[in-house]
Amino acid sequence: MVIKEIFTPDIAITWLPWAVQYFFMMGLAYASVWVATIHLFSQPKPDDRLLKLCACLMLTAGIVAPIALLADLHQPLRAWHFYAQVRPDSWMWYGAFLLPVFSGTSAVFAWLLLRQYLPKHTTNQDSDWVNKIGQLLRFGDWNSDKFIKPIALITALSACSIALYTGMETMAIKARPLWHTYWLPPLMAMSALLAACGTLVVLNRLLKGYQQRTQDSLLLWVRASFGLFALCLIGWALFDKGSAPEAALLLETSPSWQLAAIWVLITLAVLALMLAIRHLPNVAMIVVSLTAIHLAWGFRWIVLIQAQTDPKYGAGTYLYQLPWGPEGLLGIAGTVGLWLALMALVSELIRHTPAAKLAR
Amino acid sequence: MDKSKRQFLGKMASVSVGAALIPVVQVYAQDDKRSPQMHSASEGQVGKRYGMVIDLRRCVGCQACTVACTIENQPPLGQFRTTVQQYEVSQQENTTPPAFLMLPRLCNHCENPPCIPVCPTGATFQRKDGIVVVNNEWCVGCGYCVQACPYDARFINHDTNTADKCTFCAHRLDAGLLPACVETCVGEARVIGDLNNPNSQISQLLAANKTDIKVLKPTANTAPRVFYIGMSSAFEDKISGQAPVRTLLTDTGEEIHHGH
Repeated sequence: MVIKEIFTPDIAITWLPWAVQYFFMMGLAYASVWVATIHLFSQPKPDDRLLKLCACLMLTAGIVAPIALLADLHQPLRAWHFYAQVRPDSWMWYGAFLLPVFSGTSAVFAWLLLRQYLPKHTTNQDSDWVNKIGQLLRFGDWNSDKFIKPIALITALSACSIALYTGMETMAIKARPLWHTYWLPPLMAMSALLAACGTLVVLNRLLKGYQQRTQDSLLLWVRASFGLFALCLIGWALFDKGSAPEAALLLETSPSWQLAAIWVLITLAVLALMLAIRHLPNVAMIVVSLTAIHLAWGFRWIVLIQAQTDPKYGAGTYLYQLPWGPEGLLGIAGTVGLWLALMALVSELIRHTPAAKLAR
Repeated sequence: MDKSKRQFLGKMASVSVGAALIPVVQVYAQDDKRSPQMHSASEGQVGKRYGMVIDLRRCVGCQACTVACTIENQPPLGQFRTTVQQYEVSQQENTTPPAFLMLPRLCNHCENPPCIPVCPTGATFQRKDGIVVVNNEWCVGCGYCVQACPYDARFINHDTNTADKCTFCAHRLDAGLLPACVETCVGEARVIGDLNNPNSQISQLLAANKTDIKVLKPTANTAPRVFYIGMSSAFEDKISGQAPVRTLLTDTGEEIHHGH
């Protein structure tokens, strides 16, 4: 029997690019918590530069992500409705509780790591307003170092809960075979780690006080997270029984999915080749980092946006064109801009004592 | 960070930071006070279980149901609670001329609706008579139910910015009227009734045609309560066939993209 669709409606996407921004920014935040915590507990002499960069990233991305999530709600002012009843069957309902916990713990963790760089209280009349705000944010000159490790553990656990809920929330949707695979949460988490490490490399270059030691240890992180992401991707392609066959079907028929597959393969190949170079030049490291960020963001775009063009009942794929407005490009640019603004603000607040060291 | 870099970032940020807040402001402005589903947010009729039978042998694909539903429920332009999808079906050998299948689609008001457990606020729920409804004054518009529905029966209403779907015209049923689509169907292809009552027209129709009753995606374990008579099993699950030429239009109707 040969079936031709003659007259069927086109279904618009429901989760907008805001969702990509949320998953991406949240990934940067929770993965930088992981990097900082693992580094704190595994190194006898922690790299202050790495911890500082992680703190900046978890703080800024951790603020931008929930804003993007609110924007993806079509009724953001009703967000309080999440808390007015018990919905234990909904992953999103759990997320509504896990997210503020993470925002709080990651902000405290970042503050503890950055506190030593905030200007100390001084009676100097010449200090500018940024300096004064920095002094206020320091909340006195007491020693807070002993709180860092316990808070790091709590925040890392909270970060795991965010990685789990964001992955499971998407994975739980049986109606979308592309999403309904247990490989999705680890793929999301590993690509988040890859993107966070890449961003930390770029931040190390961008913020004053570049450290070669930090870049060297981040290169290890990038290699490890890329390897894990690639392994998950291979595992999904070889062993998944629902999502991978659906993707293969799309690859047979849809030019846009073929293009996406070519893009993924080329990006993976470029990264693999560059990361195989033993002594990676600094310029190449920046290229690797930007490619890694690009891969993790693009992966989220394919999973969250392009997967919505796969019809649940009909044949072929639906059309989608990125709108210019807030529901499209402006939303993406807006969240990136907000993140840049927060990065500039944080880097401004902590610029005064670049030589500070954690006393341990 | 050196000064020029900081200034550049500052300028970039000040240009784009406002953009992040635009949708919040816009959505606030659109916080529509209309609540077309207010009537259906009731308990429903205790003891009844509404279902629908669609006899495809009687459907001529006139879209009168689509129009009647749109007039009754006033969804935004381009969004539909029900449609009639049309397919050309031919045999491999091409010896006989192709046939057409008209497939009316609407919410299946499943016995095991996957849209309900995912809802983080409980805004979508099943009435005692089995009708699945949305309280659009409580819905946050997260779109999770839209993703979870295997039938693409739900959408985010562009006017109310909340989830929207077919309600079997619960407000009409509660008033003793038939749903708009049933009322208007020229071939009497759509029959609604109480599945709990063995003497109802729908129960008798189901009994008389029990060898020819099908539902969409029977393996999805949703137990749909919209039944089809005269549907080929090739239409039970996702269509394996040729997609139509799709066209993407702007709000003013200009074509911006088209392809398969």
